[in-house]
Amino acid sequence: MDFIAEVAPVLLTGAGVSLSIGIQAGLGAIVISIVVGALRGLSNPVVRALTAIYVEFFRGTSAFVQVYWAYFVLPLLGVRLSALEAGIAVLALNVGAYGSEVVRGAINAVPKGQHEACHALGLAWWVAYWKVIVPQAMTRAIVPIGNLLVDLVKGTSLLSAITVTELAFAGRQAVQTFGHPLAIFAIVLVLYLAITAPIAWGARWLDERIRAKQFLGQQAGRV
Amino acid sequence: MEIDFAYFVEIMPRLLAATVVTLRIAALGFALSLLLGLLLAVLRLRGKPVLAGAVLVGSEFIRLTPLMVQLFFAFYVLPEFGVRLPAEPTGILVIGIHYATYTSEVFRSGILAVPTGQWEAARSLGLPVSVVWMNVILPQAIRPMIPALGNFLIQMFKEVPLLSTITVYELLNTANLIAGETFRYIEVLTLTGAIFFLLSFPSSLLLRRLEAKREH
Repeated sequence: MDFIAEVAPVLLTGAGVSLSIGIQAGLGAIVISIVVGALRGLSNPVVRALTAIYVEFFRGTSAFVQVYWAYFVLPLLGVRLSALEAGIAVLALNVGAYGSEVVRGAINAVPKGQHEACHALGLAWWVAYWKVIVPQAMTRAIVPIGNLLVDLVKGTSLLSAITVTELAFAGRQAVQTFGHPLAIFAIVLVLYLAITAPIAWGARWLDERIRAKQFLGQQAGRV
Repeated sequence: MEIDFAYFVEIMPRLLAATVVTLRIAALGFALSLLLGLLLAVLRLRGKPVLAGAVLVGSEFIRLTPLMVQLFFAFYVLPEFGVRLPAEPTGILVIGIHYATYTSEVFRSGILAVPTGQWEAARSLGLPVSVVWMNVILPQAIRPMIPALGNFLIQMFKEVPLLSTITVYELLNTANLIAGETFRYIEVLTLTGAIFFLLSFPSSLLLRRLEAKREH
């Protein structure tokens, strides 16, 4: 078990890199999801076509192929990104494409009457969105967005194939140096779990809290 | 930069052969994920509490960790225990188990959605348990699940390239091999992405139509 002391710092550094990639790509994905999700609801045909192409392109071609494409093909087209930058960009764009569908679906699921009521009350569109539509859409979006962020953290492992020394890469390297694949990969899996579990369980907890609050609100409204 | 279409034609046979490998892995992996997913769902619904709990914890662990590392794990650890499988079966096994934890959730909610009256009616007719499941519950449960299960098949198909990291020559690995010979990454990798798109986009459109039909 002596090798654990030598392996631990390598794996923890790798986990730190994965976490950092996850945070950067995750923030990017959330911004893209909201912007593209909102744009997809517009009636402008050009906006509709462009956003649809973006979403279907990233959903239709494999994420791993996209990672390779960004790493090998972009430089040949004159776009110079480091492996890390290319990887973060692909993950953000890929998960953003899925996320924008979640946002669109959540907004569409708010009953039409809510939009009409806001209009009838003469609310400005941003007030209508911020105070009426978004809070109702949130309940539908939190768990799916949480799942997508989990997928994103899992997806950071894809970057090991393009020389980014994140957790999966560090694990594989450690096995080549020290042996002990069972112990090392078990630790790697648990380290991933330490990042993904709080996201998944946090999203479920938040979802339940919001639902409970809204339920209480409805009860109070009825009285 | 010039794109040489003759080169597309030249590499097409090799890429198509590799596409068949990718489809084969996806088909076998999906078949495994359906069988195992159904078993996991039934264990969670009808198993002893300890067993149902173990299935839940195990599934959650598999869902919350990357397929890539699970592939490494199986590829490097199984031989240590004397299990020597070639890379492709190892990959099918891992991807099948990974997706079984997802399909089991679809099966579970599908089974729970069958009205309790159906269980009661089957039981009051004195049908044996196996007949209740096979002839009453599952036929009703499975139809509404088809779009969700189909989505997992498409998702799995797009994750088959991960098997390239454990030396399986599926589509992406073959593409890398070809590109490495000629350094024509633009053509080879773009064509690879196009093949994935041409197979998965129409399939997902079909599923969306199925789903829309069901809702109306």
